[in-house]
Amino acid sequence: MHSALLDAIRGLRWRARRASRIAVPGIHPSRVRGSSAEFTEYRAYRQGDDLRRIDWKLFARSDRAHVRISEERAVTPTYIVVDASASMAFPDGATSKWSLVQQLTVALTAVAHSSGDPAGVIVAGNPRATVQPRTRHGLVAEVSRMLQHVKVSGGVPIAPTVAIAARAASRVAIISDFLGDLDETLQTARQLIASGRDVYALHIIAAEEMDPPATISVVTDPETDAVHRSLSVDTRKEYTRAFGAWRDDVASRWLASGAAYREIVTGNEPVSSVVRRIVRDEPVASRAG
Amino acid sequence: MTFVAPGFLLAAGAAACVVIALHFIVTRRPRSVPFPTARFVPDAPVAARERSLRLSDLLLLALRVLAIMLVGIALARPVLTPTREKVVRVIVADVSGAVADIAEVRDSARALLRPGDELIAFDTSAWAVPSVDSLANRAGLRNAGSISAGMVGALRAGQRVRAGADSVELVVVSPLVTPERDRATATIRNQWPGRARLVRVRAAPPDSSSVRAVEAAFLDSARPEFAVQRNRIDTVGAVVANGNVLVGAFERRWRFTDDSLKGARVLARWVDGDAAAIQRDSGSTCRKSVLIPLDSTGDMLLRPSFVKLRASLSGPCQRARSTPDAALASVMSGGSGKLASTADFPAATDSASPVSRWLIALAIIVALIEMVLRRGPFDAGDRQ
Repeated sequence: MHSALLDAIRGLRWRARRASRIAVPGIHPSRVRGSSAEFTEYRAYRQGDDLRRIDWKLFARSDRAHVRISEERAVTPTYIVVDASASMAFPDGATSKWSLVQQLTVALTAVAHSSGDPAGVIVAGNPRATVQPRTRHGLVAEVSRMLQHVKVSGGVPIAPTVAIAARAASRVAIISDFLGDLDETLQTARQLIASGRDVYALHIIAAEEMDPPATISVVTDPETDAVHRSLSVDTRKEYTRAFGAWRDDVASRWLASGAAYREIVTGNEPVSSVVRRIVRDEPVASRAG
Repeated sequence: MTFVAPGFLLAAGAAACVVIALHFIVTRRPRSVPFPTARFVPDAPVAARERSLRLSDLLLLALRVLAIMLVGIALARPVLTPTREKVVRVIVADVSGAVADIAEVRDSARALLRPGDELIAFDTSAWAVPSVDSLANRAGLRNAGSISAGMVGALRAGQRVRAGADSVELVVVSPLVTPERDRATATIRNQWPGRARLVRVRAAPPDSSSVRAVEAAFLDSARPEFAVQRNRIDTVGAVVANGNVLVGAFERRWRFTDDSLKGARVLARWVDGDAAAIQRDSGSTCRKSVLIPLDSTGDMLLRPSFVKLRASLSGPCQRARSTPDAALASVMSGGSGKLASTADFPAATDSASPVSRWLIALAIIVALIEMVLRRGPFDAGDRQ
């Protein structure tokens, strides 16, 4: 299904932005200091330290008891929270935001999986569309199949789903257009970041939203019938200005929260490049990807 | 090319104009498109302020107008090679005894008759004649004809020429004398849905047969009409007619029966009151019977009183006067003032144009193309 994309991202590793608190051995730096063979430093013995960790040769030379500290590596369980509200179905066809979300989710799952991290996907507001974080073989295909059967509709808040995902993951990637409960999601994200988790905010925007087609004259919010506006020549400029200001605001708020924020526009860049930027945590050069 | 029912063509043209007007005038509420970031569009009234004329719009307009016009043309029943005349004449020629000279009727009809016109002859009935030369008084009829019969024949002729003409002109060639009118004349005349052109010919002089009959009766010993022989022959001294008294020794052999006197007009009476001469009306003519015998050897024929008596008995019947009737002319010249349209005559069968069904089929195809274009690639979800 996504073989070309998976080939393009083969070998990528999703490096953790913070040291993991997980004790399960992995490739990411861990906050846990253990007794592995990778020596880091000595520390003066404190009451309660394991006597087996005292470096007796150093004690014989210096007549002081020191404990041998080594660098530990751990896994970073990753949960990808996917927004499947009706707004993600725009525009119709293969260039829709949902199509990009599917590719992005599969690619990030594959990268996390190849990094040895348990990876899972959860669709906001759809408990049945969930793949728990696992490291087993066939995980990527399972995620791909699950996303194929997701029905994109409604207007479900994603903040509760983010909170649920954080219980089982130290890295949470939120893929959404953030047109729903942005404030609640940001608040939840701040709490997760404060508790030491990595949060990725991947803001999906359709190119048609940046520059609406000239043939569109009356628009309706697909998630609520209350918004019914006329997109004329006069209002188009105002729309572009307001939408740009909103995107600036969203970006600044996410970045201020400490999350890794990326604005991804459909059709702007190959998905593999976008994924590469995300997992390498490259600095945001511009808003577009 | 002409059209059997051009009204449909005009109606289609009007409908097409309405469609064109609506195409440019009507501002429709545009269809909404789902747009996730619609909230960032300023809240302005939702209305299409202007319409951008695109190729698809003009194509749709052209197809709609074409479909309407095709249906209109189909219903108007076009005829490529018209066989219809604009105006056909129905000439009603009087060949009854009311006409002084039938040749005058023939000349008038010949001057008016054109190819395709209908020629109707009438006396007491009406019939179509193939040519002017066929106009002739049937069996030397002396009676006046019936205009009503002629009009019935004209109405039938109008029905016959309905398919071949747009209008029908009625021409009546007749002296239009009083005996030719009856109570149904005005009603039947009003059945003709248009004006009538009257060509008057000379009326026949009064019927002289009654005069000859009276002259013969004075001298003939044969049984007069309506009379029977008396049981006993007697004599009487005088006869009175119209105030004239003829005195003489008259031998009475005949008498009128009671049946013959019913409805008869007594023209002369014997001095004892019995009827000596009567007049019986029969249709438009009259018959007189005189029972007064005269002796040709005496001087009675020379007396002034006899001359007056003979004049009063030999005069024309009062109802048989063949003078032109102004009232009849007024009735006949009435009407709407326009030529009668053939559409006003009931048709025996409606003829369908063979082109109509093809035009209807073509109109349906055009309508389908219009529907496909309207919902097809031009629309593509972005047409408002």
